[in-house]
Amino acid sequence: MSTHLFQHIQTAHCESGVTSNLFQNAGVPLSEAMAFGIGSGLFFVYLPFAKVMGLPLTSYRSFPGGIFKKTCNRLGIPYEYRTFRDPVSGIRELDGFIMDQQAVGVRTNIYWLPYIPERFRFQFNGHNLVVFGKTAEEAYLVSDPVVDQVMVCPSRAMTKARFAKGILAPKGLIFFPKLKDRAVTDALPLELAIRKGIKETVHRMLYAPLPFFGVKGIVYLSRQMRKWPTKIPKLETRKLYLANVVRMQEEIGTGGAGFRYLYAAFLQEAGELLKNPVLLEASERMTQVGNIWREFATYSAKFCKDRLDRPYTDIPDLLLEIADLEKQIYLDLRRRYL
Amino acid sequence: MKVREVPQDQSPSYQGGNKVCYAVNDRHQIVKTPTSGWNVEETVKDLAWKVIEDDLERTRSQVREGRLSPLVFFMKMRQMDPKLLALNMGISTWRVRWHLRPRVFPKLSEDWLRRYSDCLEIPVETLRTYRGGK
Repeated sequence: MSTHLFQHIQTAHCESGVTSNLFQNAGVPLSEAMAFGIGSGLFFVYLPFAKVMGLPLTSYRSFPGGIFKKTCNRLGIPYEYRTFRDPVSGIRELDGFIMDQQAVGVRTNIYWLPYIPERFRFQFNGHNLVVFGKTAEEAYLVSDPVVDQVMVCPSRAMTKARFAKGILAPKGLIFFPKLKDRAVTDALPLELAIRKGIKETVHRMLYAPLPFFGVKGIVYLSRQMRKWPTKIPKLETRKLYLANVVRMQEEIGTGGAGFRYLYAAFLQEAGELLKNPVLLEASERMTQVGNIWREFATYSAKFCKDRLDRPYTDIPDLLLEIADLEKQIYLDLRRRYL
Repeated sequence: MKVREVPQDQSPSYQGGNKVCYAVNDRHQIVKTPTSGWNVEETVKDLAWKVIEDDLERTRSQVREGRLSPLVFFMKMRQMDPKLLALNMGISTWRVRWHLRPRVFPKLSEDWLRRYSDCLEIPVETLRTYRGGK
């Protein structure tokens, strides 16, 4: 079977990383930060009544699958995006594309990927990676953006990961931008794409209709935490809730501070490209908010170790500060950029 | 966060690998920077894993006492619950719950064992003979 070169670049986050790597390998330079920003990856959700493995659903990013599609749409690039009802045809299609030397983005369940360190493996169906070849032993060559080098994944494990069931079941999803026939000289409509990306993020963060999303979601988490001593009787449960929030912020690949640093990188790159001081200023402020998110994580870890005197005021206060600063950034972007 | 402030705490869970963090360098550019781990992240991860491991330990001893079937243990080992296991098996949750019972499980046909074995990636022999050991 064929093995052709695919330049693997490690990134912070799986979906923006896969998108960026697929573009770069087709000769179109697009950084991870750019893909993340144009694809409107940034978000915040806290849903105490929707439990994932017994813990409130928390996310610092938008719904999986959106970043790739939005990036392609906003850049005016056609793409392939296909799911399969049965594994047999899913395997056949993937192998076919690899034969044609087409690197393919694949959605998987991270639990079944043998090369992922044990403590990062859990039943999560939204992990993206690139498959670009096969070894003589019929194992897949994998460029997983959150891992530092190219990995080999046995085909049995890959099929299991692609066709796992449950929430966000990947159904063998494969995707890639159709860049093969594109003239290299064609300029991407970056300015417009950046604007669309920022617009969606600003609107979602500021004006989501329910209190669980965006800036309101951060305030909501802060309010909930103040009530924990009376609402959640067991200290252990409170710790687990907070630990889960921090894991979503740091453990899964976010580039630090729940994607805030990554978004700051996007704003900086966009600001330099468009020579726009508003974006550069927003970038700096986003980095500062990121620093407070990191502080929030540090406080939370202290709380988990019982080393904080007033956790139910200190941590919510920090969250309020974050919410306020983020709100100012988005408002400013709306007023002076959009 | 500055590049030189990026934590390099050699977290055991990274198993020697690196992750990527975005940080500010001396020229005020935000660049990708490798990190070998952060103690804060490790603390919250340990807490979450302790719950999983304690639960597995409890299940193991209940399997030893015959109060739970081995299938319950392997289901939990794969971080599944009856609902997720049912989805992956393509059968109803009710049916999985029935199979999980310690009285019912030993009577399951070879065919069922093979299906659970495929689903959980546990050899049929292990499913049949597991009595709550390590």
